Amino acid sequence: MAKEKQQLKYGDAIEEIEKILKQIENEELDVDDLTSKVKRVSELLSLCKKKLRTTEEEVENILKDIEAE
Amino acid sequence: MDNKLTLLELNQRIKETLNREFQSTYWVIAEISELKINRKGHCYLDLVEKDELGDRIVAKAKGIVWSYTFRMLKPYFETTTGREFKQGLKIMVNVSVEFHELYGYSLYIHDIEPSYTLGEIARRRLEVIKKLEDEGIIEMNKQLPLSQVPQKIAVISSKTAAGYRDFIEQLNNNPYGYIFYSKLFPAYMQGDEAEDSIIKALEKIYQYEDLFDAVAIIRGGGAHADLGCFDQYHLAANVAQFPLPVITGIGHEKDESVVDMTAHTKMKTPTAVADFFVSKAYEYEEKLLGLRDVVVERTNQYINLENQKLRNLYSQIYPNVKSILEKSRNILEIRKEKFLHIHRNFLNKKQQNLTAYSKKLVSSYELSFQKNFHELKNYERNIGNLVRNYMKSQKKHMENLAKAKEYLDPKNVLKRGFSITQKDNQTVKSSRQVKKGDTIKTCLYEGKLVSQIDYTEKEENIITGKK
Repeated sequence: MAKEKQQLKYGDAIEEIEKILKQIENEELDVDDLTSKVKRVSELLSLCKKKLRTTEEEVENILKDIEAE
Repeated sequence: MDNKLTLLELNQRIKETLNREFQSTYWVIAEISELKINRKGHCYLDLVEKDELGDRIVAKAKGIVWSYTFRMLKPYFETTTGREFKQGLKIMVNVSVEFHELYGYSLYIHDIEPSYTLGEIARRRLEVIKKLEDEGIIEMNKQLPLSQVPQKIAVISSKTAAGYRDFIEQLNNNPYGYIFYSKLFPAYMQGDEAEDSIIKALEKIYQYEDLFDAVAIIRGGGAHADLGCFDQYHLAANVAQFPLPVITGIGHEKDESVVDMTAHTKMKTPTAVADFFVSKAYEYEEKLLGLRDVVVERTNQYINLENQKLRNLYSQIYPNVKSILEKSRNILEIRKEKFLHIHRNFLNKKQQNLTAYSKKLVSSYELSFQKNFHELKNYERNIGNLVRNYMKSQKKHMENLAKAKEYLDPKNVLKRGFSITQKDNQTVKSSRQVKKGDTIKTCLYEGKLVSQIDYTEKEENIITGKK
């Protein structure tokens, strides 16, 4: 989960959720798949929310090290 | 040689002539090539005119703005044009031609026409825009995709600028608690060095291109500041071709600068730039939540649909199952009844059989008893007869035996002529019992004979005929 948080791209998350939504709307999923996909959506949601609001020290450190002048 | 003059006399005559010939004031167009303000507040300028190509000076004159004029003229010009009154500007000024015996020819500037400079700026600006268009780069930065959440931002600004502080404040204290990463790349934001300085900062950011989502060029405060650098071709071209989206917050009231035009997104102030980034993150999150709601809604719809299907199936199956169960129950009931009936019949039959058997048994016993009884009676009768007959025959037999006893008495036999031969007191019954020379005794009815054997004959038994 921590690894995915760093690698997760906001655009990819939206794309994946939209894809799942389309599958649900087209009734391509059986009930078992539906459960796991809905789970995945909520996982992506919490990952994105976390990424939006939690400071990644690694990023901060990299930016600190840049010689800007 | 009488008409020789001193320098002063000559200069006096030139001054008189010029005063006479150039009595009024003139509107003159010129470029400021040098500008100095002394400590009394007087402004000394070098005014020049260049040829059409702009690289050769074809005319030059000294210009002076006396401090009492300059105090009003400078702010008037600067607030109207938005440009600092400085070298490089093309201006239209109202001048009087002056000649001073000691200082020579100069133009005293009494008034200025800022709209000329504005027109010049606009013309130059259009030229720059046209050049960028001709090169096909003016839209380049706009075409870059901006990250859905521009969270890592390279900032070009002045460290001490109020605008930069506002920007950071607005960004980091956003009401949604979003995290933003910003890095300041300091640059001069106005003056002659601004263009080069900003380009250098862009070059620095270019080295860390992958680390950032966007560049923010911001400056703030100073309503009268000279933003001429943001109309410069080189800076505008650099911004246009920069590989990261550039968001500007340069802060000006008049026409947008060329840099604003080439930037990805133009905001009015640094605060607005910060709001822009925050709103992007907010839009993203809203989109995410919207998608979540749709997913939840669609999932519920799906589940309801499936439930409906199940209910339908149930309502189809239930009556069937019910009727099948009822049917089966009926069959069972019938079978049970049937079984009980059969069972009862069977038992009854068996019982009847048993009764019949027992009756039969009793009657056959009675029958056989009577039969035996009769037989016994018969036996009884028969035995009586048998005993009587037996007794009769035995009596007869006894009578016969009494007669036979008389026949068989040896005296009677001997009387009838038979004799008994003995040897050594043994009765001789065969000739083989004696041999020649033996003495035998013969008993007769009356008396005995003793004889000696001459010979023996083997003769057959006279009674049995055997030899």
